[in-house]
Amino acid sequence: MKNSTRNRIAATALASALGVGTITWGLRALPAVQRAIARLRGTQPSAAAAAGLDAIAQNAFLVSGSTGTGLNVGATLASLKSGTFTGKREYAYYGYVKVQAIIQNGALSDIKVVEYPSDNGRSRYINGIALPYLIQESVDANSYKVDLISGATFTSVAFVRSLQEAMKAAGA
Amino acid sequence: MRRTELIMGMPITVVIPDREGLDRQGGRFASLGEATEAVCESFRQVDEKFSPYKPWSETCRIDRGELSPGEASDEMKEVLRLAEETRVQTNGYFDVRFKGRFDPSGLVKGWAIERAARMLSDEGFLSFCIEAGGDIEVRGANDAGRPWEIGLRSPFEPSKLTRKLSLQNCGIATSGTYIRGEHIWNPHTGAPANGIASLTVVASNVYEADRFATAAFAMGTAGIEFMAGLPDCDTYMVDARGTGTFTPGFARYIAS
Repeated sequence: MKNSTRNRIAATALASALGVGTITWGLRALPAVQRAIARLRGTQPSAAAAAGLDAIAQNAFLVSGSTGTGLNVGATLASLKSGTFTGKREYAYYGYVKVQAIIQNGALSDIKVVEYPSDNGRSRYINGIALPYLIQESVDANSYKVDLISGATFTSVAFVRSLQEAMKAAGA
Repeated sequence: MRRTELIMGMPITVVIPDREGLDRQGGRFASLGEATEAVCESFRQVDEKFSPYKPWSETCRIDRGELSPGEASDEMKEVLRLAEETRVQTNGYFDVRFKGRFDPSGLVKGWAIERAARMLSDEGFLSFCIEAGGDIEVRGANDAGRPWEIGLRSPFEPSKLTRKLSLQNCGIATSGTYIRGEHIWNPHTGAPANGIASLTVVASNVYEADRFATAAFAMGTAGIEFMAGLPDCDTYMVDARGTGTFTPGFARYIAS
């Protein structure tokens, strides 16, 4: 991904996490988004943060058509305190998600997931079944235009909510 | 018309091509707005009744032993019957009663989507799709009059897709964990080399797809073998090393 694209997505994601993103995108939100872009310009988020931000950006896009989602915390961008800030546990259907935001030099530098839903406790052994004819390929990542996306998205909504709490604690 | 709301802790999206709103006669819904609202309302009702996180829900009351299954609502009885059927079909793997607790969540999402789809279908809608947390029921054709184009989210780069599928009158569900502990799965940075990153099932409806995707995902790499033995289900698995494996029947859905 090109840096400019990465920064645009990161800015969108950060703005979204702060409640000023695509959900409330409009004249009121625009200056805050511009400040988010200015803040991120020239800074390359760490790989982990970038991947996390991509997930949020994807999610922000997913909920962009919604009304009254409760994702808007009404915060505006302010200088962030350095340190590690933990968000609230957020309900994610199969369990709870909790994230930490790590702030360095006034910017979001990393996101850690400290709690996540897991079905592992339900595992039981399945009797072996004769191996069928299966087709294998190596998986690529592409950008297609589609009507909808199938994927395990349920954690990312809770992820954004928990991150919002962590960012609020950081002074956003 | 496209509408997205957060219900049951996940985004719910309903898409109905605008042409379905033309010349509507009879039926409960005068507009696509009313129809999409009814879909969302049906998910809100399911959440009230089945949420394992709302103490007043039937799920929680059964879990606490305050409500016996015989006294439950007809909908809960239906879910209990389907849960028992699924438990038998998955060799006892899929069980809504585990370690003394009662939680039908693994079944309710697909059931709720299928229920909403049935409602739209009964009101005369031929084309629509309903998505809840990445599981989708597709009917008829999209806005362009072609089969619905559904992307499979990459478990390694959640903003990208691994495949584009072309689907009509079926259900699709993906189980996966994009975030494990502190790591987002990545085959290039030393993620665990065994286990699966995501598993997608296409079936005759989303209820079938969802319950088997849930069960097969938790079976690990044996899941796709289990799925290949089931009629009417096609499966695509991505393992932690970035290899995709699909059952022969899945190939017909791949658009690119």
